[in-house]
Amino acid sequence: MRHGDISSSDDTVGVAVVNYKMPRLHTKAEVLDNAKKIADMVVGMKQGLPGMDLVIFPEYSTHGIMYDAKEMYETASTIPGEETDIFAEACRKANTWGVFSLTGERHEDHPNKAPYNTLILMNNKGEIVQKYRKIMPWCPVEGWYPGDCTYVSEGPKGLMVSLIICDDGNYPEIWRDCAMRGAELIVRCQGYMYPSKEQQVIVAKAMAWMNNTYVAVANATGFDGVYSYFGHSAIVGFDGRTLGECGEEDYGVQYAELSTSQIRDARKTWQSQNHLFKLLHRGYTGKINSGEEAEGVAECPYEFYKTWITDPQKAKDNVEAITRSTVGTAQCPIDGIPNEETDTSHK
Amino acid sequence: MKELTELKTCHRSIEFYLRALWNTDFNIQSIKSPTTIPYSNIAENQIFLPECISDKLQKLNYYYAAATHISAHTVFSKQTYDVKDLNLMQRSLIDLVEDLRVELLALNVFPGLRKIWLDFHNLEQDDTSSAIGLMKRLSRSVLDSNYYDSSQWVEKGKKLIQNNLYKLESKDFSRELGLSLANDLGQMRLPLNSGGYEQVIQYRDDNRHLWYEHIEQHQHIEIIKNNEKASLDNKKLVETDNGKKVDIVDGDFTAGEGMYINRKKNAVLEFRNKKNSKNSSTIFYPEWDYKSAVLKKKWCKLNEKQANAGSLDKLNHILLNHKFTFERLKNLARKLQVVKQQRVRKIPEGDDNDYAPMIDSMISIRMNATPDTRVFIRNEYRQTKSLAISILLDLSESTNYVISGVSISQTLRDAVLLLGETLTIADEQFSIAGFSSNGRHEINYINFKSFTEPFSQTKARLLDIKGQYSTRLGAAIRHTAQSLTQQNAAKKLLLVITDGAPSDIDVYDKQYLEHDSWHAVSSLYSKGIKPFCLNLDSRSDAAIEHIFGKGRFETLEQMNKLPEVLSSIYLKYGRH
Repeated sequence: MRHGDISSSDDTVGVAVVNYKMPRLHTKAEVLDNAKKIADMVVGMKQGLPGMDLVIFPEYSTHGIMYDAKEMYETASTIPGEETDIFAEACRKANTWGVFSLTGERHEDHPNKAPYNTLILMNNKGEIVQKYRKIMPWCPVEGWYPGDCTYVSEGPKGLMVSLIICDDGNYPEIWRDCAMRGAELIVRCQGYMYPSKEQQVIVAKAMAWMNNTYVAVANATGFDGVYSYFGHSAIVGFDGRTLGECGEEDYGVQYAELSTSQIRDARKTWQSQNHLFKLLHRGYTGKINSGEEAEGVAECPYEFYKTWITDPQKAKDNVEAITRSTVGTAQCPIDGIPNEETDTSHK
Repeated sequence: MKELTELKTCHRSIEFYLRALWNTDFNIQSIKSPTTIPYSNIAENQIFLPECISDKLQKLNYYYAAATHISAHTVFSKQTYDVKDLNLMQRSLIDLVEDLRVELLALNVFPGLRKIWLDFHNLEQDDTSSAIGLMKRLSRSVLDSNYYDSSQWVEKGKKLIQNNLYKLESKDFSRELGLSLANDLGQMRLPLNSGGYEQVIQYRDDNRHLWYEHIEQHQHIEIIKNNEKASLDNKKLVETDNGKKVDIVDGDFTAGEGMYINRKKNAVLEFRNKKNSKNSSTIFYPEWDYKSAVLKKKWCKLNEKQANAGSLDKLNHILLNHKFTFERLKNLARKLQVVKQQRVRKIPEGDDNDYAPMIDSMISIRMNATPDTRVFIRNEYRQTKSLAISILLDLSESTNYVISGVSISQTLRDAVLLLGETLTIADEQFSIAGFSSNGRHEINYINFKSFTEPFSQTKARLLDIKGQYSTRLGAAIRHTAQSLTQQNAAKKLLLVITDGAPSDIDVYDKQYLEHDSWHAVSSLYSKGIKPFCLNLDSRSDAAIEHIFGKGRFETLEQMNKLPEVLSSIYLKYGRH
């Protein structure tokens, strides 16, 4: 893995992340105009970064945040649809793969159900290779319908790619799930705002290190009238060290080359910090010293995970015992979200 | 008119053809059912083909293409697969790879078959964005060496099959490759359009011979139990909530994703047992989401049922308690009958002179014009009803609130009884219903009297009035409007009696149901229905005014005045 040049090679995948300025849009026509702007940017970036195999735009970069529910439902896209057609044309023209955000994607039961917050991975032929729906919408603010699974897809030059979105990344489970299922690059697209800038920069590096995986983060910048976005799009190596990181500038771009052979070699030959291998071969040295099986222990030692899988309700009850029992809080009530003081009796 | 070719004209020659190919006897049978998808019984060497086909298909040698494909299964498909743990996408891809596998093996022996089959691989009308479209393209890509496809998935699938040609006779070939391709397709989130079995290439059979199911009968019940608890003892087909059937017939994949089920002959359809099915029905209604400005379709599930009748003695006792009010109302109602007599003017024959037309006729005579002879007047009893009134009662939990020793629901019952008697004497057409809700999936609509039933035979049902649950007003209004719209009357009045703003336990936005109710009320005007509300709780005046509009509601000041007020509303708004 390397940083500094604009090239790529048979062994390295050229990845670019974009500090896209958060757009403030209201209509479908405005969304399509913005999609064309993104498409132009893809083509332009390829001219400047001839090695670019994959370009990544932040969450909300296509639609912006529709704070008005009516606008949100009206502009929700179908996938494939007009927006992805525009991106497909750009990917073909620039001969590059791309990760694009669609907020939202119409639910199968649209408009009865809320749209999904979706990312697509598109190949250089303009085909959608992965369509990921955000599993952890940023409640209570975001009203997306939650997705239900992660994906690992063969990306450019065979690099295995998983997509996750913004708040998803605050939960270590999703990183582990993607990495354990073979992801070598975990793409986190976010529309993250102040105050938690420092925390998010740390998370990307920590998760890359803990899961022995490349991480690419694309974040929004600017102020959309409600929130201020801190940018800092970055590409992190599988050793947890940042290869390149933007500042807070609008339309800043970072670029790095991610070696497919290096990450595979590390996962194959690393020992003390091979976190993926070691999680399922726990304490093998001690086991060997004890004259027991040389592979170590594979069983999950964590009670919480056992409970969660076998009895989700019990796990939920347990967590409510140490947190709270309602989704909202009376001390900072939010319209439409029940809290402990909400009267839920029949009237 | 479309030309059709019947199977019987060529089935013998096909049997000879197959015997020549495989040195085995095959028995060609015709499919008489509406389906035209071929299938087979491999154990018996039976091939089932459509009874007749279009001329266009005949020109493509459809029968030969289908028969040779199915016979290739008979010769080469020795492996069967358990449906357990496989979803629809995975099974469809295993099906596809198995189809290609047996065709490739057959082509090794008879390369000439390629032409027969390739004629059906027409991609002109393919939907390239669908899973089936890509599967068609993969199929052609494997069979047609001159065809190149731009899809990465298609090319990957083609390479996968070509790189494993040496394993064509391996028992796991189709499963391994099918699962790999299904994984990629699944990640592209391309759904199978129908959610059930879909034919990829027209001549191919449904591969029912490929699948088996070890699940016992009681486990089928487990699979469908999420739809509805139903009695399934010794039944094969089950009706579900949305009207689709779970079809436990071999090769029919309507059982939902993940289900291929063995054939059970002589299956019969069992209809789901519903509570009080004799007296209840379920209807779905939309609901207005004011935030997203969306009318959510089929959002509310309304269960309509008839109230249980109580004792007539008790009813008479109630009337006795209100005898003074009742007498007064009866007199009013009788007067209304007189009012119903109307004067018919300007008619050629009648009881009396109609002076205005007479004057006009005299003027005509003086002007030497032909006078109008319609100069009489007559008092006639109206034949057609001029008013239809629906009374809708809020029967939520709050009506159990007791005021001066009497619950609101009891006062409501007495008031509606008196109003019903009044309307009956006045010979009005009317209906009475109540509602309560327990979330959007359970809106209880209780019918006390429909328009077609006489009050005398239904009034004992009013004793079944009781308060429970919440107040999802919008759906109840929409449902009441359905029957009121159908009445033949010049004036249609919907009278809602409620003791508070709409609310329900699954709605946390206080304005949501208020807006929905407003939306429901707004739609009444276009149906020729005038709404009016009697509000029993002044604290919700603002919400009621928002829903019904200024001048379209009254607030009851004293609960014990309800019977009189209710009847006066009828006189005030119904008769004028």
